[in-house]
Amino acid sequence: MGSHYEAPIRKPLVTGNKTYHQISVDVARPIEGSANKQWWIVFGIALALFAWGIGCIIYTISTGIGTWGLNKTVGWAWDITNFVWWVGIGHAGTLISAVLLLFRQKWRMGINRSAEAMTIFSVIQAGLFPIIHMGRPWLAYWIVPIPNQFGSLWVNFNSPLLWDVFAISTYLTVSLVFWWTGLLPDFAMIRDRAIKPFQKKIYSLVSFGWSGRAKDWQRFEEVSLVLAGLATPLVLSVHTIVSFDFATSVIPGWHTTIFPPYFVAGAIFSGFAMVNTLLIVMRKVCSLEDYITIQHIELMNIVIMITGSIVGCAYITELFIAWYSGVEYEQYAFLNRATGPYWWAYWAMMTCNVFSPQFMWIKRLRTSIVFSFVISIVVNVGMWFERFVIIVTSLHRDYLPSSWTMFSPTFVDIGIFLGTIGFFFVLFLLYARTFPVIAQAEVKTILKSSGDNYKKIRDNKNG
Amino acid sequence: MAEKFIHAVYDDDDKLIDAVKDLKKNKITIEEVFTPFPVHGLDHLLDLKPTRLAIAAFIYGCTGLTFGLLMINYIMIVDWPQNIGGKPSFSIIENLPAFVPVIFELTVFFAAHLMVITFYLRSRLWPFKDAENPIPETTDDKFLVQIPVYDNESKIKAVIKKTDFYDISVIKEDSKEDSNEDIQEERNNAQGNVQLLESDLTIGFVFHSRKYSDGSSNLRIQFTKGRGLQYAKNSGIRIFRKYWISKKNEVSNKHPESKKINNLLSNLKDRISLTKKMFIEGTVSYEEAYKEILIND
Repeated sequence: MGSHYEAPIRKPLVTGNKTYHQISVDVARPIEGSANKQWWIVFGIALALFAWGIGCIIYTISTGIGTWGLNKTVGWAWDITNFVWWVGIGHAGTLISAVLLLFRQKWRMGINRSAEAMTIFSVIQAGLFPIIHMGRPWLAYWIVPIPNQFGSLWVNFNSPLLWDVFAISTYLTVSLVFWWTGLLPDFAMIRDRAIKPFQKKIYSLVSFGWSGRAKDWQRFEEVSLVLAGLATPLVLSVHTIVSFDFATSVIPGWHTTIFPPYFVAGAIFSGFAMVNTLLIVMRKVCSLEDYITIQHIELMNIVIMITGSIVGCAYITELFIAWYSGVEYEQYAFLNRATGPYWWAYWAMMTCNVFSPQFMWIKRLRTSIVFSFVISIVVNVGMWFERFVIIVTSLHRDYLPSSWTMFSPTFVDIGIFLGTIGFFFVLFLLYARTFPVIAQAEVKTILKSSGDNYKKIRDNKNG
Repeated sequence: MAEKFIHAVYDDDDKLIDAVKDLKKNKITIEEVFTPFPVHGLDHLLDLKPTRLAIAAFIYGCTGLTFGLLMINYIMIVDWPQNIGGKPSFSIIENLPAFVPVIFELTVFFAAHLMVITFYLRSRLWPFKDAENPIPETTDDKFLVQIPVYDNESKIKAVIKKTDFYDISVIKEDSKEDSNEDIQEERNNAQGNVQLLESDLTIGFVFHSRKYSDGSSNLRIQFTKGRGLQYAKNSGIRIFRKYWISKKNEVSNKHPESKKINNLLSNLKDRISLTKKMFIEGTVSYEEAYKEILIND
């Protein structure tokens, strides 16, 4: 028992007197059982949205980008807003699985699997937007540096948009192998429990024949650690490079050196909010309250509070630097943001991102499930507005007042955005029914140190 | 390689660690340990060498860095130098800041993917690979120690029996003819196992887990006493699983020789019910029951 010691002050991370076997049973239950009515209803809605999005994408590609609300002044609007929003959401997954692993935070184990799934699914959504915006997506391979028939014409490695190509594709594929490697022992558990031959076959296939030898586990732990070490700078680089899309330009409001840390903090902020949104529902639907406890939600709320405050500092710093720079264009860009025709978007952003997370200082609120859920939605909305504010308000009043204009989205803009939300939830709902949504092998390693039953035994012995 | 193994099963990681220490103290070789999760300290106890995957990852990362640098140098400086925004690209050093992001991403890309591929190959993990854990419970909550036997069976058993073990079984490797101990595998691969009569002894049909190269497998007869003891014997029938109707314990009429096989099967079924009766009367023991069905006089 001595080797499983944990300070009594730490709250249990697994409740409900679990045994190793009970953990397997609880994790396998959503997979082995059948879907209930609510699942089908939500899945149906998501599928309908996805279908609507596909329709809008087909319309865009067959007719042209003119179907969007873009004009000659605002040449970038919802597409890049949605792109940055989805990439940002993805960041929390890597933060939970990689950064918290390096910091040896045990509470990550209950939530890392779903957070990583969210990462992969949201980066897929993000990747759609640049490809659609190309107008001719069948030529998407032109962004890869391959020798071609037009003479030795190459892609431009000075361009942040090309950096994005490398960053996002590295991020997506590395997240995928990180996720899948962690899944192998859990798929193997499902495989070895499966009774139906088809189920057994599928889980044998995806578990890659995992057998759980001592040597395999030694390598597994090393690979997880090194992947975490690689994914940590990777995740920071990805949103840094996304912010370079704007920061390396000469547009007032975009051309700021604070962008990389400010975008990374914002990404973690919105990502944790999305993890909260998804897991608060999933723990209820899949009866996983013993593994995703109030303690987990409280810790995520604290991260939301801190990153929200960092984002708030960044907003205020931006305003200060604009004034301090003495550049009148820079000053006007920010004045226009807060008081111009898009004031409502700016103040929506401020309210959702800066004020709302401050409620989390109060313990009663950050341990309330309903309140956490509401705030997580509010933050997601706020972070979408942040990107909209940065992108559209900086563009719509440029150097030439005669070309000042407003941007209004068409039904196609809205349809594609809703379509990606539908696609995301289609993927996540399918995941929740077919994947082990808790990293059960990892949770079993902390059961004796952080399980409530084991903690109680120790407390009684010592006290 | 030893032909015979002892499988000692434990239901707790601490019990496993204690048992492994005892086995080591008695100088008994442990070939393999299967666990449902990484057990802390086990690799040291088993004297496993530290893995070199991290070193490999470092080398892969260096490869990615070099690749990125050479690629960008060729594309941007050597092959097609351009003056972009008043910043001519005629020297890699002067243009390096703009190339850092891509070179960094390639470093991570190479290190991560090649390390994971190396891990999968070294640990023999890939799609369509069959699992090799001897009992399925080792991915759930059981810990299995595999010990090769070289004329020291009784000593090993004595040591294990002193530990807090959950189960112990003797396994013969590569036994085409099935030994009585070849039981665990059967329990998990039981397909179409039908209880014919209600009593202490259950006899049913199962397929052997190994397939022949043509895809067919041996149909076996499985004997279960109570809820625990189990063994299986080949029935002498070898068919494709797809022809088997487990509800009826028959082959479907799509099989070209269905009549002949179903006759054989009904013969076997008669013998099974006869043997069951004999077992209840006490004229035949559980261990010998198969002789009544399979050995023709």
